[in-house]
Amino acid sequence: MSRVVHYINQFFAGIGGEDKAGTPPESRPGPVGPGRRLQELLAPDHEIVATVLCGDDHAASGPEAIEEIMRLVSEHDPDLLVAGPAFTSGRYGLACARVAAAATAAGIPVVAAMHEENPGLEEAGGAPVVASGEAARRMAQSLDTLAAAVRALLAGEELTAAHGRIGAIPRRVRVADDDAATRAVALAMARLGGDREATEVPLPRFDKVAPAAPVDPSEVTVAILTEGALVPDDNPGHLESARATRWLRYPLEGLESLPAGEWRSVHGGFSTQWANEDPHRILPLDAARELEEHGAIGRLHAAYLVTAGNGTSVGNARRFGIEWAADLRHSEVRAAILTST
Amino acid sequence: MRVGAPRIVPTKGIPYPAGDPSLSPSEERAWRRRLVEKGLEAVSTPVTGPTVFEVA
Repeated sequence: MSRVVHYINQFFAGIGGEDKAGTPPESRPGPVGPGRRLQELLAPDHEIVATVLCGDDHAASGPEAIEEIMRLVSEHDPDLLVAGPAFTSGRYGLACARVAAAATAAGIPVVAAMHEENPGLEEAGGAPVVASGEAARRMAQSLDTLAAAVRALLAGEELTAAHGRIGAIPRRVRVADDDAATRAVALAMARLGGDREATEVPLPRFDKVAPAAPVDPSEVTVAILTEGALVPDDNPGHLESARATRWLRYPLEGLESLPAGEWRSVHGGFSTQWANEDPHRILPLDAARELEEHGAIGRLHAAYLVTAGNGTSVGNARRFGIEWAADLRHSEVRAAILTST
Repeated sequence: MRVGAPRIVPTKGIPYPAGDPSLSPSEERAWRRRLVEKGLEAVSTPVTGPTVFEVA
């Protein structure tokens, strides 16, 4: 009998919703929540020996959280780790994808499940992920797909699109049937023939974001954010000027303005001369404070979030978006103005 | 519009999204305030897809 460990979030573990999203990782014996149905589908050949759970905010907070989760997983010496299904939930999907990537790196067979539009999918790298429905009302068929994938992996098979596999497939060396010139001419002919999609290099797909419902800014906490790389003058968080891999949070509490010389932009994609002359040209703190004083802004958030939007990979940008949304929600921010350079 | 942000306030230039160095300091400050006010108007307006909120 194979030993399976299941990773789920605090919601599906029955601990709670947003108010419990900070729950640190813990381990419970046997299946929990959706794991019970998964266990039925896997019995009698395979057993879910333990469930590791973690709150969404905690799990999405950074690499340390994934290390904690993997320590708990390893204690149970699993033959296979299964994560999700995370449906279209961003933080949960991010956590499942990172757990899958970490397990693959550690040599533990793994499969995660989420919807193919889950913004966390890319974080799995080449680790196996199978498709789930878009929301928990699709739990039954999502678990059917996941259980079939678990069986296939434990039987030594490799997951393919036929198993519902989505996301990146690890790179393999493959020899093309024709040389480059022949393929280029074939592509050009296909284009001339009216095929607008034909390509050997698919471009990254941009997400469609559902607009948030409107809020009355005079009633709520409003944040100001920027990808203009404005940081304290000595750049204490070492923000990169291009291809940023990180974002930073700096306090605004008690600040009425951003004096020149104390702040600067480290953005590498434009001349920062004007930003450094007057940092408000990047982050409009002076105007936001004025509007807070006049009551047009209920309360200005006590910190701002910043990164450098310059050649940032779509994968990192997507991760920043999920992490910013989680961070702001955690601080009870209900609206944000993001300046974009 | 192309990147799909739901609510967009156009500004004067990439190096100064919340300013305009061609204006006098007091005019620039007023321009910045109008930009932020337009941003607040945007978050309080229902939209169904990418929508531009121009400062008049």
